[in-house]
Amino acid sequence: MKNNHISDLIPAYLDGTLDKNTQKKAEEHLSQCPDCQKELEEMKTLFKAFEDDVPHVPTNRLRNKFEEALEAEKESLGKMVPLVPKKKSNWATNLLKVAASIALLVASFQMGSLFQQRKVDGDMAILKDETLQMKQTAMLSLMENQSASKRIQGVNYIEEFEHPDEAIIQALANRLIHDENDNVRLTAFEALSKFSASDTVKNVFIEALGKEKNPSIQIGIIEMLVQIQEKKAIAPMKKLLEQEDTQPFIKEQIKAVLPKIT
Amino acid sequence: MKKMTLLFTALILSAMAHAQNDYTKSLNGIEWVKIESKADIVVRTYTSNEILIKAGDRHEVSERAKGLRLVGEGGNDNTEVGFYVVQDGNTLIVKNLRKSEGAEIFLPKNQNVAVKSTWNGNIEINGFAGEIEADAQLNGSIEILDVNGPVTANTLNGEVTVEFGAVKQSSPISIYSTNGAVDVTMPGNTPADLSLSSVNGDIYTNFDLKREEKDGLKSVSGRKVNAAINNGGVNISLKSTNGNIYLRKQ
Amino acid sequence: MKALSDEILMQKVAEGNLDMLKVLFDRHHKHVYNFLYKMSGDSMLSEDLTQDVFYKLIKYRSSYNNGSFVSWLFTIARNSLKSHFSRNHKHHDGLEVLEYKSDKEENEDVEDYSRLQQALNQLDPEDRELVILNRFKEIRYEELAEIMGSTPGAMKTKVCRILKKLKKIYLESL
Repeated sequence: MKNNHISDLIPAYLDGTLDKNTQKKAEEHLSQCPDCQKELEEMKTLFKAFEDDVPHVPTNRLRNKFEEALEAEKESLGKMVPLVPKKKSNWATNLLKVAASIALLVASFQMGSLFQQRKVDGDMAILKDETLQMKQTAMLSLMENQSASKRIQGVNYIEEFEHPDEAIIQALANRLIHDENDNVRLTAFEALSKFSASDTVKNVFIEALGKEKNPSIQIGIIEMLVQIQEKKAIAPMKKLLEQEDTQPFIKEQIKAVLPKIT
Repeated sequence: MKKMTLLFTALILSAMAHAQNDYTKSLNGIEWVKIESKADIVVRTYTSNEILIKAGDRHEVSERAKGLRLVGEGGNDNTEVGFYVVQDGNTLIVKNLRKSEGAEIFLPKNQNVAVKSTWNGNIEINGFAGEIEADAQLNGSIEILDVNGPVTANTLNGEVTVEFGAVKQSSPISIYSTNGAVDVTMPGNTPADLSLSSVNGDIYTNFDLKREEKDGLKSVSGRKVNAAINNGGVNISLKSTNGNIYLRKQ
Repeated sequence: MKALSDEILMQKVAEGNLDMLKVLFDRHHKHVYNFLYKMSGDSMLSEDLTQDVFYKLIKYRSSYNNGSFVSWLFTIARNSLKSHFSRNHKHHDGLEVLEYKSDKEENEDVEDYSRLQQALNQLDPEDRELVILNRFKEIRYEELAEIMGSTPGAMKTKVCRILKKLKKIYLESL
């Protein structure tokens, strides 16, 4: 290793996370480069400071409160189960049904006495916000999962949002237009169709109709666009009519509905 | 001792000679196995942590092709059994290069498997506990038997048959067809939120479905049924545009 | 008996076996606490927020999506910290609001900061956060990337840059 200093490799070198080859090269370079040796020694000092840093120890109060909270949850669980029949949602195993749950959440947070001194009103808004934010994070990350089933699960979380923001709509649109799995695309289409009043969603449908090959999704989109009388849909529909690989029943459907868009 | 070793080597060699149509590869570090084929594919489980491909034995390399390598769409035969196998990150891509020659593929029970049929091939998947994705893009049908994990399946013209063992997971099950029937069997005690729909076909089931009422109204369209069974649980969505839906109790 | 992984334990918690949370608490509460302490320099607050984090684990257990548990845990810890500061400040600047804390003197007579902590306090909150998380043995670059919504490669480069910066500050203080 000529003059290529390896200062960028030093942290990984000290952590022992370099692969064998790189490790060897780093050692070779270190043996003949005073600059990097100095850098290594300095970094060692810093790392040692981290190691020697005496971790702060929380008081027993923390463990006690935690165990208290856990017991309280176990108890409330025993009471909750027969009461609430589960609804169509994966979140629903606990108290998180948005509207009702906020009150409950605040109540249980208070039970844990952590937030006791704080103003309830202010917390309400923030808690609600946090819950949604958390769901949104979970939803968006599920939609990027390698597994189609998990992506569908992510898409299904849409039911938790009354007024999904642009990021969620965009993520759903990406699923509809780009996902390689037909089931994911169809689920995304169904999720989006609840928001067909939005211009973004309309445009997504029109774009999707131009690309989609799955007839079940094609027909869904066509029906939706006819329902909302979207004139911009006429062009992609006519194109589908001309394409050879379009299923005959789709063509018939288009012929039947085209005159309805006026 | 030496003799033994020799004997073993000889045995193994002769076994290999017999098994010319087999190909194996370790599955270390592989999370997903993605199989693509135009012809029939049967996927079964066994206990070894490697993939075993048994190509159709009807096939003998013709005199003409001897010494030559099969060149297919999207890859060359690098397995000697008419398949192109390549690892991409934590995914193993397995392509059947022969257009009319099916194969049997063996994988460990917990493997996540995705199978795609791009022409007339039928897909049969048997005995898995991992995740399954099956897609018959044209005329093929899908049959998934004795399965315990999440399933995503889609066909265009073929029908889909799925028989579940126990359904325990929380990730959704989604089974769609455009022109074929969707036929699903599962244990009577499966806790699930069902969504069944067929645009031009009918829905049949022997589960006792309570229609989900929305604001006191029964769902208007007869083409779609949403219902919870056994107090609700995993989302199961079965849809066909032009075919019937059958949901059976085991 | 082989110890069960965090992910399997959390999976069990999500399925309703709440007692498994105790094991997870034992394993991780000190890390969470120390992360929060190093970020805020306030031991009482860190204790409250750690409590809050585990409280959220209880409440949101069924939203656990089988990903890396540590990433999830620290994502929640970061959110708790962020919302604590934006709550007290009534505006949503995210981490920048932490700045006010780090150089403030009023705390220093209460808390006895180590040299390292003093050096850490001179970093931007974003940088401080990354380097603190990076130094926990249980968080690899993959997890860090997950927490920050970035890629392992980008994290590696960034952490390395921050470590160099921190090293300079630290050595100057010696």
